[in-house]
Amino acid sequence: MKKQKSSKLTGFVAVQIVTCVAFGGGWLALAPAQAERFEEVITGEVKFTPPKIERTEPLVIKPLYDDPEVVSDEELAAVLLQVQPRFPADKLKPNHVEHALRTWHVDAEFQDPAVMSGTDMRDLLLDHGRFLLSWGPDIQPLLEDRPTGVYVRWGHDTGASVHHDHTLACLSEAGVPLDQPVRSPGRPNGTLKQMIEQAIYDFDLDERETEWSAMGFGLWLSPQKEWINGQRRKLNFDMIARRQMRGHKTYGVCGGTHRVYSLMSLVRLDDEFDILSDEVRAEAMTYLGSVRDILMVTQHEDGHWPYNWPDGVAALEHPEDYDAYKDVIATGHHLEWLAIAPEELHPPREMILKAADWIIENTTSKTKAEILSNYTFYSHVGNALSLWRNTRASVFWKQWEAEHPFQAEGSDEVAVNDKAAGTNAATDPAATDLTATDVEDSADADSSKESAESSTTTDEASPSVSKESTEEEADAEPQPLIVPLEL
Amino acid sequence: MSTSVTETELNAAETPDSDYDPSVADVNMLEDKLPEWFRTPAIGAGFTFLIGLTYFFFDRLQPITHTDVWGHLTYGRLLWETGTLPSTEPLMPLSYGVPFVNSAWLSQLIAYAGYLVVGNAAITFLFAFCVAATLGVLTRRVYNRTHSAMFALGGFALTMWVEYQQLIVQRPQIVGLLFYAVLLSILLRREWSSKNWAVVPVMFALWANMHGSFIVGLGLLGCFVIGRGVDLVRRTGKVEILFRDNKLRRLVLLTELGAVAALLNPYGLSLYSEVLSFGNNPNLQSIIEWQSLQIRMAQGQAAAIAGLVLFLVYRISPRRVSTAEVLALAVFGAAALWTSRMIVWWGPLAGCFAAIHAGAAWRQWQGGAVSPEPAPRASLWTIVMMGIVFIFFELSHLGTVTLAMAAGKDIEKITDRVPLSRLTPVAATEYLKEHPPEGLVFCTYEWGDYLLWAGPKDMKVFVASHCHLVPKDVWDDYMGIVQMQGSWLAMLKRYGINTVVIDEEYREPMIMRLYEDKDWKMLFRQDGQAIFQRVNPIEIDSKS
Repeated sequence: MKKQKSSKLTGFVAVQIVTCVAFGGGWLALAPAQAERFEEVITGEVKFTPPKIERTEPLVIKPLYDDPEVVSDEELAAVLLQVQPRFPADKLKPNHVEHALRTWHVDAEFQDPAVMSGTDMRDLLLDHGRFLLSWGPDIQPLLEDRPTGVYVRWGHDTGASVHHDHTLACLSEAGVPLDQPVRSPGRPNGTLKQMIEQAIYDFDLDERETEWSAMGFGLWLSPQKEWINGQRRKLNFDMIARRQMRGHKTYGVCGGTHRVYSLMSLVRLDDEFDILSDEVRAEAMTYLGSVRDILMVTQHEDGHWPYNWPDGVAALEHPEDYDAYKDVIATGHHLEWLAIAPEELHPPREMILKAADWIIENTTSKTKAEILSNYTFYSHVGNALSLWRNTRASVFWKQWEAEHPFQAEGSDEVAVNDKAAGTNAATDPAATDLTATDVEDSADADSSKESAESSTTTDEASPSVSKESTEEEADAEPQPLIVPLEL
Repeated sequence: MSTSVTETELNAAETPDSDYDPSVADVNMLEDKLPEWFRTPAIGAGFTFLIGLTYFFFDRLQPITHTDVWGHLTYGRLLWETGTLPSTEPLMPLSYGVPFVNSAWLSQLIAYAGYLVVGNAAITFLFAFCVAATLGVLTRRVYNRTHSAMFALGGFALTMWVEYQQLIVQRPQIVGLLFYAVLLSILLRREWSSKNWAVVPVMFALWANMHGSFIVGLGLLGCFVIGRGVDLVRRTGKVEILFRDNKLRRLVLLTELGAVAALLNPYGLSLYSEVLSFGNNPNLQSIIEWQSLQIRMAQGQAAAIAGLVLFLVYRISPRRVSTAEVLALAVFGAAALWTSRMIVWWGPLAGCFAAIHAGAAWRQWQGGAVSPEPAPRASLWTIVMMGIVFIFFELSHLGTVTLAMAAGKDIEKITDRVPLSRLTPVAATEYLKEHPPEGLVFCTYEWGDYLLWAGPKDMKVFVASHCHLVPKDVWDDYMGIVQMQGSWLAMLKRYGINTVVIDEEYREPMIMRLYEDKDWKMLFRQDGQAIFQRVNPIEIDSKS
């Protein structure tokens, strides 16, 4: 009897040991991602280990040409003068700042105190204190602290970045480093790394707009080819590239041109880091070639490409009735990706020259108020033309200002630039002194625009960023403001 | 030795003793000489006939459905051809990269191997066999507990009624149901068998590789463990009894061994997290069978009646109601209310418990013994049973095929005769094979599987029935398109869809709309199936 009891106990203990060993061994045998998933299911808490980011600075896709025939120094100066980030300090839209930052880079400095420097723009996006100063406490913060990183609020809400990962892509293109402090409510000591990690976590290959995520990942993750997102989906640059090519070309922001730019960027990154398979690279080149072919048959006599360029010849034969600024979108964006594209993907050179002439004329003929109301689109023009001169807007402008020093408003500084450019760039005092009426008018006009990126109005324009403060903070890290937690 | 015995017997036969009277039949000649284990009661033959009919019905009269069975076969084919388990979804282009824990890999492989040998007859056989075996196991257990053919039949009928809607589709879940029935049968058995120490772990090891429902089996064991514990404490008022009760100890050990055995699968512990989180997949909410059970559903009505029967039976039953059965009925009942597909695990419980308690109530009413003598057994009935099995097997598709194979005939024509659901897109698939579409093809998720299975090689379907593997955004877009919501036509363009394959049965408005749209032309319409192609195809620049 005693022996039987003992054997039962032994059996019971043995099964307990077997169970513990089996489940313990099973746990140890799990791959890290599987272990995370298991933990997540059991605990109900989010578990995510982002891929390691090997670099401390984002990659830069260098332009391939320095072609003064496309844009001369004077023309470029005239265009850049038009697209300077001359924003009001109050209710400063992140979308505007992002566009300006990617065009001008974080190292941008201006002699004109009414223009935001690169660091000012960066800080508005990355320091909640700065954002709070501009928007006040009634607007939801741009940055949100999350367990998986720093999330950028995006969408059509007031004070949000308009597109998913647009902030990240612009900061990356602007050269903001990985350890750049990011101060969100609840996480005052974050860095850009956490913003990238959050972007990786919540990226969904099938979301509506993937163009900026593609850019951000390309500039930070290369040469890694593969990673896992928050849904545990295994992603790679082949999938991202194919996503840019999915569906009719008309879809995508800015008439589908951002997809082309992102795809071209991935191909360029592939040149150096081999992030695409041969098959996908070939598909991408075919796709980009097909875009080139469309450009060859859709250019208007005056040099612009129509917004509905994906319709091919029909776009030329049966022009659609849409707002004129949309042609600026198409032409500016196409010139931008062509500037980083190999020559085999170019339409004939005359077409590029014509397009550049048209866009320069268009940009410089606008008043600053008009530019400001469509700033996002015109910023691409500034960037595209800088790329065609194998430079960056900030670098070029610094040299230009060294030779053409800024003179305060009321002087003929702008006129000097205009004369040098030989263009009719408008000097519009309204650019720095917009009235409330102007603001409302432009806001109304914008509300009818189809594209999400067209939300380009400013509510008020007054040069509140002083030269002194700009200079002081140009090289120093932004000083965090004391922000009440409830904000 | 045997020779000498034979000789003795012969001598005895040749030399009649004094009592021998040739005019009187020798009853010894009628004596059952076959071993005891071979003998069965007459009722066994009756039940065999019933189960044979069940097998015949599900094999011969139930067509192969047009949905996920083909997807499982396609995965089986992939496994067979590649010899590896893909870690991410391999078939639906829009789901590439999505982690894939294929909990049914072994079922798929077996089904495909069977298909290679006997074609579609393998599918109907495997399915009908599992259904028949499930009901056979449960009916036998109920009979053993009640010793009443009437109540065994009643349990069979109630189970079948509740389960029927879940038994329409041939899918690996049926293997899980068979294992579940075996487990329930073990748990309801009066006596403990030492074989259970081997049977249960082996079963769980197989179960975990054939269908994710092994977790339901562990849940059932858990209910019996907790139930037993509660009963013990309730009856004795002592907690120490929990450590001394043999039955409870055995149940705990069995649960642990089952859980450990389930780890013997290619995914290890990951399988647990997969099956535990499966039901939370948001896409499943769009599928009717994953929505909550409602009274307007046929199975909802069956469940309601079964619930009422259980209520009445428990009211009049003289048997002690164990906490385990109440707990199991409550847990699985709640699960079925939460998501109707879970009714498949509640049905057997309802059928068995209702029959067992009804049997007890009947006996009490009749004033009969609680445990009547077992019915007499004879080899004759075993032979009759074998005959019944043979007849039903030969009547089935597989029987016909095996006969043809034995006769050296071409079996392809016979296997082609296995009926497919009228909703299967056979004609459309044939057309697509002759005119392979380029790029992504929009189809309903019900048809995606068959198109993957029988369509042109490397066909890129929008979705298939493994909808839990479809990214949420894609699934939402899919639902928007099939329901023709808002800009569904633009959505087709956004995905670069140039070909649409849809059914007339449920998508007639979509067919009409595409028919009228100048951007689309109808290529094919037959047997309730339609194929449309974009007039100016979107360039196929990418594979996905």
